Amino acid sequence: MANATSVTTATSGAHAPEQEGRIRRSMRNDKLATGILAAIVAIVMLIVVAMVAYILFQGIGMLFQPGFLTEASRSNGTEGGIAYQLFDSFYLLILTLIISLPISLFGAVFLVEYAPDGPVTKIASTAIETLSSLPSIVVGMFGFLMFSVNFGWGYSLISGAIALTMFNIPILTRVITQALEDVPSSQRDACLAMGLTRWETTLHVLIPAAMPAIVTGVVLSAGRVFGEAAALLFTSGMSSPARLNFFSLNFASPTCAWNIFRPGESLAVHIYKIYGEGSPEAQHIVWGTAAVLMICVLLFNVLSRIAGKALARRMTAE
Amino acid sequence: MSNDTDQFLASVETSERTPRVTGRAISNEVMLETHDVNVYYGDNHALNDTSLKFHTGEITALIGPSGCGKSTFLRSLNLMNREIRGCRVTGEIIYRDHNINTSTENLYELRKSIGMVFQQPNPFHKSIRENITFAPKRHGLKDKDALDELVEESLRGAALWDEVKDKLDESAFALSGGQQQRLCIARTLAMRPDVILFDEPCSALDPISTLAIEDLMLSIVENRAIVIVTHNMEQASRVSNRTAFFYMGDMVEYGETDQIFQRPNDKRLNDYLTGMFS
Repeated sequence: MANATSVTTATSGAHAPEQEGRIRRSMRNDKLATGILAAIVAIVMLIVVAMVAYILFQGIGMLFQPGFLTEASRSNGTEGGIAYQLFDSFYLLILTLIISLPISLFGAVFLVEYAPDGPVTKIASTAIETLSSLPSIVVGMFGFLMFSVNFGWGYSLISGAIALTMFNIPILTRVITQALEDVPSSQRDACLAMGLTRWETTLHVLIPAAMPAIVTGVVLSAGRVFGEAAALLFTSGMSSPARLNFFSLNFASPTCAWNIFRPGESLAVHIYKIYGEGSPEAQHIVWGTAAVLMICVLLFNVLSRIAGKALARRMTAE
Repeated sequence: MSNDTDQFLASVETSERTPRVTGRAISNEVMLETHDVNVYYGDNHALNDTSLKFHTGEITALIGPSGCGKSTFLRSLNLMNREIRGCRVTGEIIYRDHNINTSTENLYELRKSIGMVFQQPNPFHKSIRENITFAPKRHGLKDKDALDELVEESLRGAALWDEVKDKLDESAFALSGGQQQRLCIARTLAMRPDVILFDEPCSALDPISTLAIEDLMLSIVENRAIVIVTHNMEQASRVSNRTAFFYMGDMVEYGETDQIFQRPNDKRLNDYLTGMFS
């Protein structure tokens, strides 16, 4: 309000001292704003750094404990290592990507390249948006009732992977849609003008051109899937088998590591379970697991940048 | 950048090509013609009853102020307008004695014969070689020797061979803007088209690269028809045999280039040429 009046006086009368006062005020406000914004960013960074540092401080010791990363857990998780949880987390992630990546890719291609502007496209986009905002515990409940109970898959990795797919599809579809839309339309025109079909154009030019952005998006989404707990509680279950055989090719055996119908436990669920049990001796395992989980997610972030940049450089020959 | 254009200009000067005649008609063999073509974007009537003939061995320039419908018309000729949602083209486009503006026309065969070069150089995110071979491969040419031959022939045709022959497997994006545009022309030449449509091919290029492209157009026009949309009046008068002037969705005047530029009949064309509007 004070600003507005000073502007009117400046334009109507324009006396030098008044002008000077206004400029001084503006500059002071500008400095103030800069200071406040910098402070906010500093606080955010401080929180992140403090959190990471604290978790690492508490948990990093466990990583160097012999067997923590290579042994199975014992006594219901309160002793031993987290080897199976680590494996199950990655295996779940891979299963999830195997299911969600093709669906998201073709969904995005359809939305960007084929779908006519109209109600169908709008409804499809809205459905995808809605899927991304569903609470994960609800998706977990649905997965439990649908896959574990109705389909009779019980607590199984595949139930978990499908539940995770439901989160991952909206994220991936949005990332890939964006990546495809960012490919200049001149690339599309060039292909079509040489007598190539829309499908050839998509497959051989648009998707390769969008690949750096797609890879970045996939790896970032992997970070989210990797740390998910709520959706997995009822679907893949809260325990890994006591013994896993990584060399077994009998995929129906409950101890075969690669059997997708066996229960499995992700790192995040492991933290939830052991922490919930509240046994004080196991707290160091909780911190160790948290540190491992966090390091993995950070690695995904770094990796996504490196991979995206490397691909982009290769393709544009900078 | 200047290095390769110098090299290019040197190669142009030493070549003993006979200069092609421009400014007046030199052929009466019609390659492509349109009858009463109308284009609509939704409810917007963008182009009115346009009938034109494009002759073998000639360059035809389409000129006119922005939004006059010349690019819209150009994009009708290879049915590229069909790729735009809500765009509708009526009227006849006669190529090889039949109307191609029908729902049964095979677009993919047609666009091999009627090529197009765009305003912004738009090579693919691929190597120089693959930029040339990509479309022919998709159209079924598999023999490696034939493909290699095609790469050399096309790049020589586009006066680019000497500059890139040692780096065929490097990315096309490492080339300068002018080189990229010549690569796009080479890529089009590889389809051995009868007609090439140029949509303001030099508007993103520097003057020397522009001259290189103009020279190139004159060197490849033999046995085919070239249509160029341009905002550059000097360019139109330098390269074209005939010129059509578009204004607000109408094709206003069409004739031999010298006549259009020196003795325009229509007042609007005269005003446009004298810079009353642009």
